[in-house]
Amino acid sequence: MMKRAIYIVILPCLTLSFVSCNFFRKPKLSLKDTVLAITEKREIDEWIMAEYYGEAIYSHKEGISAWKRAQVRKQSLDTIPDTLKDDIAPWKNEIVDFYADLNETLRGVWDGLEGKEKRDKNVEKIVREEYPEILADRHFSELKEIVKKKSDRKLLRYVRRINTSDFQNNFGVLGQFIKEQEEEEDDNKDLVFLGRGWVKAGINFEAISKASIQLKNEEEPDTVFILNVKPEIYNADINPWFIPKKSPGFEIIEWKRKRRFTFSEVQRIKTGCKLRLVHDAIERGILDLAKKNAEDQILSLLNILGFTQVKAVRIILEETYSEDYLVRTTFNFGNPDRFTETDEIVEADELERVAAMVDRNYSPERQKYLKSLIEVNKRQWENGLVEKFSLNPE
Amino acid sequence: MNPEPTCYLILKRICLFFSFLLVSCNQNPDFKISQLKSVSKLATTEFVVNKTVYGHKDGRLPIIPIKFNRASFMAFTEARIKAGIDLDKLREEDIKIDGKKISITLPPIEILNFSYPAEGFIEDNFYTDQKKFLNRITIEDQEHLFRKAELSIREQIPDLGLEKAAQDNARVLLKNLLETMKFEEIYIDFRPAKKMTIDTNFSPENPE
Repeated sequence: MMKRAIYIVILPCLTLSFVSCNFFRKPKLSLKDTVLAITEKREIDEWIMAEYYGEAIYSHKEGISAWKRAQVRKQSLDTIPDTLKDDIAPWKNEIVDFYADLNETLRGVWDGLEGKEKRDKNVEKIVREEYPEILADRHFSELKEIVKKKSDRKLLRYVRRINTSDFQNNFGVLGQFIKEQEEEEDDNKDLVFLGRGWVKAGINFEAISKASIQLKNEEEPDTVFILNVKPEIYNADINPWFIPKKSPGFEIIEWKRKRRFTFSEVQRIKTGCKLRLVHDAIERGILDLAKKNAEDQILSLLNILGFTQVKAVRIILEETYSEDYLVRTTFNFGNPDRFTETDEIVEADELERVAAMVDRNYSPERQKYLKSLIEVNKRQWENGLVEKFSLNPE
Repeated sequence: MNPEPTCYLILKRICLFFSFLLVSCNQNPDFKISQLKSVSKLATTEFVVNKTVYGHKDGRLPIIPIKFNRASFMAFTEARIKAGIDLDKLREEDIKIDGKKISITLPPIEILNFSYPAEGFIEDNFYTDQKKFLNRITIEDQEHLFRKAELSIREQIPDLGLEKAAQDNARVLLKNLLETMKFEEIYIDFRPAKKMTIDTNFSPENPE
């Protein structure tokens, strides 16, 4: 009887009170109205020729690993004696790569050590005593290979010097760094974002009107050649909204144990998503499409303006998609001034990977195509046959 | 074989109903996007705007309708808006050439890119107090606030005066180009726009 009374009276009352007091609803999140201030107005001349829309996933762990790689590079560079920095400037990248590789090996050694040895906190000594071949053979032979390729005395001098005392010091610093990184690692902490956004590439409109040298080629008299107009990435964005009110830009797809993440950690993951999006866009050929479309669009513009004698437009790129070029163009998006030192390093490191991939995928074909075109023009320059393409409407 | 008790059946149906609701609520809207496409858009003006994102979340006690332990979050954010013309919309009849004289009616000014980059957000540690007893502003909440802020910025775009600035710059750019092509009299006008669109970043047509 008592139970029935509870069911009939108390339970409905409780339910009603829960519902009326919004018991099941989440606490309300509200945004205060704030002023929108215009801080800068800028004249630009970006002729967007290709757009890429896509998704990219990036995780906290990937970010940490990229950050570590970047730190290793930075650390390696720091350990090079100042007196030698100028001497080795031309081969800085090779030497930094060499140290980064060395660090990876040391990391492998560290992983291979037994727990007791790790607790010894004297890894450097252990490695020096038990793995002398690391110092003696492999890495120096690799560095000697670099020297052979470069066959330069300055670099050889550098190798001889680090072979004696500097290298031992560098090894100590790197060993200590590995230990610190291992201690900081937390396997249970991860956050994965899915970002949806776009990348837009194009050419500089002003560059065309300032005429970037329009050449008349005797072999192809109906073709306008345009030099030094490079397709660039003008925008790479993952906004809070991908399609306003329909689809968000960023979505959390994994949040391990709901661990806490700092604001800058979240930002780093989001930046990783964006860089991956840029990488995907380049891999899909956004820059090539932008160049091809630019040729079509300039031709169509010239024809529509009455220059019907022009039958083709060809943009000649003297600079291929080199590492420096990609880093420079891709840094245009966002505001690098706002990055902390470590964020910049992560970005640069990631971009180098992207650049290397692009070089591998696109260079040979592009080089072949460009070389043939440039060769024709070079001959004309040399023979004094080059003249400005005189554009006159019919 | 004993039939299932009625209350068990009802409970099962309720569970099924709620699981259906949950699944259907979590589904994203179905849309198709073109991954890589050719366009021809001339961006002539960029505006940089700043907005302070300040949001809060009030904690609630069970049953008792009292707000307590307000958690707050503040960040300084920056958006970049680019405006210009879509040259794909330029028609043959928009251009009239008479010797060295040319008249062009350009397509209306549009927002060509809206960028609200996460790396440009700076958290204000002084006003931000994200963790309170039984109440916390999570990463999801921050995303929610940034989405609201983006909508707020987009709503104000038509009032920023972008259209006039973009028109002026487009005129200068085209005039320079046409002068190099030996035109002496140049007239540039724009087709009237109804209202500057705010979501032109997304171009769902022509999937690859």
